[in-house]
Amino acid sequence: MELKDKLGKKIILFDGAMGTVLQQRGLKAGDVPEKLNIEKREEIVEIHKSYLKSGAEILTTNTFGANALKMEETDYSVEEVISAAVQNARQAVIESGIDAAVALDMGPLGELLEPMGSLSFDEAYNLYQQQVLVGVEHGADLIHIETIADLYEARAAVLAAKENSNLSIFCTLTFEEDGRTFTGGSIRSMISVLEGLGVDGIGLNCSLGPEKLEPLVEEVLQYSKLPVILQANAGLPVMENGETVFKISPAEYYKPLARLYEKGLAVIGGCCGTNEEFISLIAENLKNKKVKEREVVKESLACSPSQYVNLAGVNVVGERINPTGKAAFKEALRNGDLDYILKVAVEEVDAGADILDVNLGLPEIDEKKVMVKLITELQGILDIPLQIDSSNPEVIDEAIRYYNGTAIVNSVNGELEVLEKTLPAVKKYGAAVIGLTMDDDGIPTTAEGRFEIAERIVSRAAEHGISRDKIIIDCLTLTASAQQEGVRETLKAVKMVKEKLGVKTTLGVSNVSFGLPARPVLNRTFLSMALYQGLNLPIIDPNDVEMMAAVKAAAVLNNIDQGAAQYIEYMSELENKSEPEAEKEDLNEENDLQTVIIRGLKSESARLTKAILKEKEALEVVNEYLIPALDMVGERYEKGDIFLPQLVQSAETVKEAFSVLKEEMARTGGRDISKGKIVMATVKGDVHDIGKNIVKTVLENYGYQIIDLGRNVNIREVVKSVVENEVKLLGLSALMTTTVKNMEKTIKAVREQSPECQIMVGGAVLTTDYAEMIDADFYARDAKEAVEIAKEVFTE
Amino acid sequence: MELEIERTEVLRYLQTSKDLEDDNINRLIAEATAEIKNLINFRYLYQKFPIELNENGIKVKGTTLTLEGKSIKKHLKNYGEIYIMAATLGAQVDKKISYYEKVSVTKSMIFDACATTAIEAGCDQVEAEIKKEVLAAGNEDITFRYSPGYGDLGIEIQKEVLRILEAPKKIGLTASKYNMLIPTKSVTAIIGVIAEKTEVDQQAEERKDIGSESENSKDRDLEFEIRHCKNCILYQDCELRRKGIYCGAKG
Repeated sequence: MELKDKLGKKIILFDGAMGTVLQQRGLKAGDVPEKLNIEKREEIVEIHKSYLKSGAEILTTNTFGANALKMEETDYSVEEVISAAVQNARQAVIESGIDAAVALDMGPLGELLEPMGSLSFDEAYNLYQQQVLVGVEHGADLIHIETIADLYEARAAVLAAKENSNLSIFCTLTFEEDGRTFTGGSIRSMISVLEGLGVDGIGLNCSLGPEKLEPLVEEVLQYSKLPVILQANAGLPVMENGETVFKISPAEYYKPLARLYEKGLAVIGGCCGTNEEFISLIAENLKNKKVKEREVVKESLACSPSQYVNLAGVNVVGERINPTGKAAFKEALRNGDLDYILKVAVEEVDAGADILDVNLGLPEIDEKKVMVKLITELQGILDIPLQIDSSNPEVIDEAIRYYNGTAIVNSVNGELEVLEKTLPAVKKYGAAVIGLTMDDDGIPTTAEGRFEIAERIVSRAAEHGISRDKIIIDCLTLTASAQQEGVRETLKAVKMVKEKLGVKTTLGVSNVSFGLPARPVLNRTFLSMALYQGLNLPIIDPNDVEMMAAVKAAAVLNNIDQGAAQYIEYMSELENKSEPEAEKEDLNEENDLQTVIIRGLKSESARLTKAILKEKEALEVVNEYLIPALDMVGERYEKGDIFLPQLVQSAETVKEAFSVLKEEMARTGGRDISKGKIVMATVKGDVHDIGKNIVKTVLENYGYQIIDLGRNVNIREVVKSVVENEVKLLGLSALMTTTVKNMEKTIKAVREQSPECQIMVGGAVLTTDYAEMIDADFYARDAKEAVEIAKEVFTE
Repeated sequence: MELEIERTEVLRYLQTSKDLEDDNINRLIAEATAEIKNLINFRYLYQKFPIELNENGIKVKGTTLTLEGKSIKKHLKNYGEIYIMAATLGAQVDKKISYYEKVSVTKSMIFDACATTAIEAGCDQVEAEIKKEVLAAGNEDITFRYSPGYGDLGIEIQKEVLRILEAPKKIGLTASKYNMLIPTKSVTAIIGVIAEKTEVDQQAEERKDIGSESENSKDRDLEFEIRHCKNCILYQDCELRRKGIYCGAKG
């Protein structure tokens, strides 16, 4: 029986550990086990053979760490190691005369991916791709991705396997006892993402013994429709006389496996500490037994690795990340100021959004590039699932490839061309998708017309292998002032698609009130009506407390929010938020903006600035209030009367004032208060960003416009930004001796392309001498010195 | 393991005076201290190895590692065993620091300082555990923690150290291409086992070294300097240190 046919029907047995067996045979701690594929072939073949004899049906190649990053430290190439490893397994099969499949084993790369680490998704993909290509070429029968802690890394590995082979793919992650991976990933997100990507088997391995993993495996069995794999450790290792020892016996190891077999486990093997005795015992009891049938809970999620939303419930989609009609947002996008957008996102999350819609539709920008960058940045700081909103199929394709989790795509519609362009990517990356009930002929006036389009979308999606539970239909909100009779049709259509097609529904709500007075009450009423019809995903501004309250209230009245628990929680949080800040004093605007700045009272700053603006011009505010206050703060800092956190706190207070002034300028079209542009970046490889951010904040205070490229920035990107923006000053930061080398390279590259740009550097390991040595123009010891340097450069 | 985050330590890493009077900052420190406790997923590992002095440096037996450099040689030359340890606060702390960098730089600084305090406190506890084990085995004491990148001990050994402990797999601790530990609030260190105190007490010597530059010594924490500053390449020129303020940078 072929493995593929057997999978999920009869128990399939993996082998046990390789690494710990090699250690017992004398492999030194810290040595690279993959070398032995070449240096001690017989020994590897022998281990494989012992597993075959004990009943294993799949041999895992000794290639756990056989990626180019790790092989760099040996004398062998990836090609050499993997080809030898596959041959070794094959040879064991031939010599023993026992048939078995050979699985190309791929473990974690050993470095964390961005945004946590500095390895990019593409680099990770390329490393796995290389392994897959060699494995396929040398005849591996399947690909086994294992011991992964970061779902993003699993994504890179699975995509590399899928796009470069036709082999079956197994993927197992490693969890701690609390059901989380080291990077915070959850079981449910793992299931959603890996099923979405189309792996053939899913499960857990390593970390703990089978007993400790049992409840976690049960969760996988409960929610995943795929064959479930378990390769546990032989319990927790203990140190005895400097040796790692695993204490569990094969019999103890087997007990929980027997229970899990009864619950539907399909593929079983061993991880660290197991050996042929463990596999023998499992084989004696379970080999070729029929996999038990089980009930699987069907659910469709939108998720990040650590947070998921069940689309069948009622969840709020935040609509604020969208440039339409927002001057400041557009300006930020044009300037590449993603921090502005990140702040909008943080506000939405704080206000209680469950999912964030991300729309960057502005013709002047490279939407694809900015979208991918923004998604990475958002996921670097927030756990909320994202909804990718674009009318450009290429943008969608790229965005959901790089999205770490299961995204929602917003949107397709009934036009065949749109469907054909977008659905393949939706399927490939396992996303959920919103279908708008409109087509080439526009929006049908009747509910029946819209239902028809929804039906078309559902059936087209089915042709692409996308099931209904991944589909969300938007029946489109019409404006009551213009098409009053249309509002009811929308509501009717929501109910129809929900009941007859069994799909989820979404609506942008606030359109309904356009052109009428007292819009909030119309919005709220319409929202309540739509929720009653079965709306799942209202797209609203979560900062609108009344709308949020209406969602929460409807969940109570519709008997969804059991015991009104969430309603009560939301309301009590709301109350806490509205409490006044600890100390609000009576400050009058005239003299006190300076006091506010010196004392770092951020929330007062904007209010006072607005008040003063009634009397004065923006530039006057800068010169008469902000600069003197800043000078005073700077002086006190230098004298040692105040310390760095206080300096920064004051700087952030001034920043609040500045953002009020900027808005005022944008409104009145007043003269630009920028004293000049400065590009800033923390160099490639360095993820410590605080120093640069402090300097940035203070420089902004003095009126400089900072183009902040963030951290771990490629040399290319720095050069590009310097050239494109024609900046006179570049600031680079590095915290480690190892990354100062990249600072030097960056400086060299900038000098070649833009010799007139001056460069200042800073960071813990730098000194004046060091700065000179790497050819920087200035060394800035701290933020204050950076300001002096900027003044010098821009007055020249 | 519950980690104690001492306010005075946080202030030290924030480079302020010990008795900072700023209501806002003090409130933020209290909030960050409470918040970070829920995010810390403290994990650690250590293992004992015999060592041997050879011409290249200190050979860690049973492993691939040789510790090279004058400073580590001086630090360990009289001893026959070491412990290698690794500890991390986990990925969620890093994520939150990044989060605050976008929301408020002041908060991110404070959060970062709390995290540094926490990882140091965690390492102190691991060290105490090791010390207990060492004393129970009939030894006299342990040396202080010595990390890759201190003095002339190369940071390039970072990945090898992690591999020896299998830290990526066991506690999710990795090093980047540039040997930066990730999650960033993590430590790897080497601790020597002092079987018997000889007439030359190494640590007392080092304490004397530092104490002899008597500038401002009333404000300074000499014990802290031995542990954290002594091997920094900026040691001689560091103005903060002379003022009794410590930056919190490692290496």
